[in-house]
Amino acid sequence: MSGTLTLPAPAPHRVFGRRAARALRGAAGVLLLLVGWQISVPLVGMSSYFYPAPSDVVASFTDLVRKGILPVYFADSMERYFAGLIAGALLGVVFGVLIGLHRTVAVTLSPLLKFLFAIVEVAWIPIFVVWFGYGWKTIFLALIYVVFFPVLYNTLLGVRTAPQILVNALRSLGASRWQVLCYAILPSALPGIITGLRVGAGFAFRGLVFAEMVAAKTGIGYLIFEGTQTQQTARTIVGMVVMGLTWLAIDLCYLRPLERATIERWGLTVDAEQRT
Amino acid sequence: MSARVDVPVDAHRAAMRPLVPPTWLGTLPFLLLLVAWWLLPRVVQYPSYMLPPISAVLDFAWESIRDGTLARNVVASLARLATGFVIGMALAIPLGLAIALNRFVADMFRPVLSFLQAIAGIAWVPLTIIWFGIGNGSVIFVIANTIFFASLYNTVIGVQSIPTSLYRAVRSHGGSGIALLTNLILPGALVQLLLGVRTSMAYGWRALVASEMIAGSSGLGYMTMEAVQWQRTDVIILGMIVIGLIWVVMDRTLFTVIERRTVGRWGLLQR
Amino acid sequence: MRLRLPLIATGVVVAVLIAWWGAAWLAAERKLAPLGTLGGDRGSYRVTLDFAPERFHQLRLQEAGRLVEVRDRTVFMMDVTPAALHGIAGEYWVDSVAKWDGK
Repeated sequence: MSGTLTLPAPAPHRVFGRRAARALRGAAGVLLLLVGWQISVPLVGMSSYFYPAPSDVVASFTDLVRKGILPVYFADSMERYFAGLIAGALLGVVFGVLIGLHRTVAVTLSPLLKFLFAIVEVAWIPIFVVWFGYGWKTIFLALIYVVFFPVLYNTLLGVRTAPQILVNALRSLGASRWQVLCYAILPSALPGIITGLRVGAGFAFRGLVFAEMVAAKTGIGYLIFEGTQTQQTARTIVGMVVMGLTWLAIDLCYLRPLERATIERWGLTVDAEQRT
Repeated sequence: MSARVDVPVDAHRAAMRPLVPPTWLGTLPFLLLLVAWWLLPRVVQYPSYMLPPISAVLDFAWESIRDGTLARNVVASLARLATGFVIGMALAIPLGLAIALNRFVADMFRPVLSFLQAIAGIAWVPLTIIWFGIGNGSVIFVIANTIFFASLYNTVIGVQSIPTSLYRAVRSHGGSGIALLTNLILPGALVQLLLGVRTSMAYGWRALVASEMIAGSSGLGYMTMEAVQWQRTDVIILGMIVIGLIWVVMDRTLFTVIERRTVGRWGLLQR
Repeated sequence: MRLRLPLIATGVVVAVLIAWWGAAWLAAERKLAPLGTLGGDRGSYRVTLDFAPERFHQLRLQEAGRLVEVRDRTVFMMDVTPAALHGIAGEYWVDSVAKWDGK
């Protein structure tokens, strides 16, 4: 019997071929949509106020960039988004840990927190506008609110399900409460925290656009709203496209790597049910 | 040798029992909040439009229940939610099945759909206002858009997670084509759809309230946002409370019931 | 290191911001050069854009001083401090800045 086992080597160009075919089909899908849209404009026969063409959108995009409007709006939106996201996440983690460590506190506060979260963040915008007026304060608070709860709940879950074995092991080695927190509880809770962050980031992005439509004078959400108000519907579509691309970028560059890093590192799986 | 027991046995056992906090503790924060709300105007001076006294909110609640406006708004909102839900699902399921079963369709549609999904439903509102005007059309569009993408995702995942052993089981009984579809693939998709209904509805409910605030002519969201113009904070607060209560009720009755039946019937759901 | 992508993305954003501000500062220097030294007090200026100003631009300019008149592509302003003027001149949609004698 021969001692060597030869395995067929994967044909590299065939693997590449499949990937390329996928990408081509995807590109074809996008192209089909754009071409179909462009062609349908003369067929629909409405003014660009009702039904702008892709060419109108591209022209509007160049116009907005040339006039310095789009960069500023984009920067303002991103500033608000990340400020609210980080603040809300920090608060959520801090309170999640505090509440998670003390069972009595958890039982006391849970019903109230559940009810507050049931009052969806968009429902808080009117009262925030009355209290803080139109502008960044309202948006910032709304974003903190919407990020706080998912992060809180998932942190809570993560802290409560930290393996007792680890905690006991550390304690038996004479670890202080702080050390137990840092070396046992937080690492176990991390996948949950990241899940909460991912959910919160999604809610926050939609919340941002909504809040900007209602309570802001700059920003991508405002651009989407203002475009139709000023008979420049192409601008609205530019805003929508920028919104879509921005979310994909945030998801790709920040959320997915963070998720992968925590899951891979500790080999833990995230229960999809935690996403609620 | 007799051991001297210094501690009475019962107290010793009581000390060993883990401390379980009583459940009525959960009502304390609500009570505290209500007390604080009642006390605040008597302790601090502030313009009354900022935070109305409890009595104002209760008065408005009673009034709007009595003349039916509250009920009308609630029904209008829920009706739109249901319509948008049905439309979104109806469009998502066939497309989802096509994507899950056909590699070519999947590859073609995936980039476009991923991109469209990234554009939140609410961003469509200015466009829908131009197309459908203010009112039901715009609101239902946004809800349907939101539910569509959530259901699409769930349908695809649902079909993809059907174990191949079940495929073989159906085939070995001579089923193929339509039989495969109705007996295996559709139920598989429906299971995941049911599991995901809670999350879909969370997004859908937000989409409803948000779009009613901007593009509605009736409903809870409209009622709450409209009151900002008149600085009727009592209306706003009542609106918020009702919105919260309805979600709690929907969550408790609809979704937990669905989850329990799914577990009961198919034994899924690892919690 | 698995967190490479987020760090790179953040680095790119920071780099872009720094480059942007740097370019704006240089552009402001260039556009304000023909005006010579400005002193510390508020002055009146004519700000010319590449196009007719929209509400966005008027709001931005209002942050720097008082808008008196808008004629075609030129905005006439008063009560502008040198620092605020520097900020405006740095905007890439501003074509040129000139002293104005207040009509």
